[in-house]
Amino acid sequence: MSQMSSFIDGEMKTGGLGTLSDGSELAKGFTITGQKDFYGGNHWVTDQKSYYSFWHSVQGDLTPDALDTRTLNQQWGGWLGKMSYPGGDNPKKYNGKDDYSYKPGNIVEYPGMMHDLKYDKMGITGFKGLATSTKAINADYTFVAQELALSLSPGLSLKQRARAYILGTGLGLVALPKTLNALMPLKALTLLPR
Amino acid sequence: MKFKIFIIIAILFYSCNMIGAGTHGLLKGYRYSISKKELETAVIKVIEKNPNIYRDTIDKDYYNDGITYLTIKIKNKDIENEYTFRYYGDQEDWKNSTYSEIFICYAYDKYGKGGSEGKGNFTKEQEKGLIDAFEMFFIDQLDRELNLNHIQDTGQ
Repeated sequence: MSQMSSFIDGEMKTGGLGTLSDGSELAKGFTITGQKDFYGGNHWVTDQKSYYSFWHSVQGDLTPDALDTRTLNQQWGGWLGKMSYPGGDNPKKYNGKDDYSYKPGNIVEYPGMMHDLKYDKMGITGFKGLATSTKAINADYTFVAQELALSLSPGLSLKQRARAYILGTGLGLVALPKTLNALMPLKALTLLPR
Repeated sequence: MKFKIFIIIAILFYSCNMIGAGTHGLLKGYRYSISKKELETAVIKVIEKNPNIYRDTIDKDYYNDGITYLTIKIKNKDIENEYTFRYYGDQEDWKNSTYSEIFICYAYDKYGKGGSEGKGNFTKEQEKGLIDAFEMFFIDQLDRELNLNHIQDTGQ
């Protein structure tokens, strides 16, 4: 009863977005504005951006384990075209967990997807993990080899091959210092003749 | 010239922020010198014995299959946290390795504050609070169940 009462109180406040028992909002709001037309009549116009956000907040509450489609194709700010896996902004579920259910249409993304699954296994994340974690060297060079093989594939467009080349060499360069360090630890340098 | 160098450094810094594994990573890991099978059995025992720890959506969820990932809720007084943790490695490692590890992938409090090492909406203090609660109500009991001390893995 008290939950119902506090919910109704919330509804009566400005904004009218009922407050739930845990303090959160029932739903995000969206903006509708009145616009006068040529004849003086009133038109109600829904703001698309806020409505989109509202729709996804409802969808997220109903199906927290479903893929949040807003998180697709977010890699590299679009610099390398629409991509979902190679990079730091992977697809997510509404509840924030990583989601691998999306099968990309772009073959260049598959090595990235496999690479990310291997990183998940090892609990590695971020640029620091990529640049310093020696336990991921095998996964890194599998990615590099696959992307470079795609960059040489005559069946792909020049754009696709360029993307694969950039991704392969990029990750290879980032992983190079840790690889050299793993192959030739700093301790070994002290044994070199001066 | 200085401006050009500044621009190059800024671009490199921005690129480094965008380069990442894009994965959940590890909030904290706990390693034991036993096989994965033994660790798995102990984990299940701790969950079954403790009325404050329970699992939802068992076996239906990718993140709660019980073999690779487990998602548990810990309830105690004001605490109502959800944790998803994973057994380190793959089938091959689990068969052959003499040690095993679980690591926290995601942690959330009852207000939905939380996330992973990769992405989250929580402060360092909130993250520490979530990890501390996990250790107090789960890892300590796991240590007792196994009669072993764990080695911490912070992913460094």
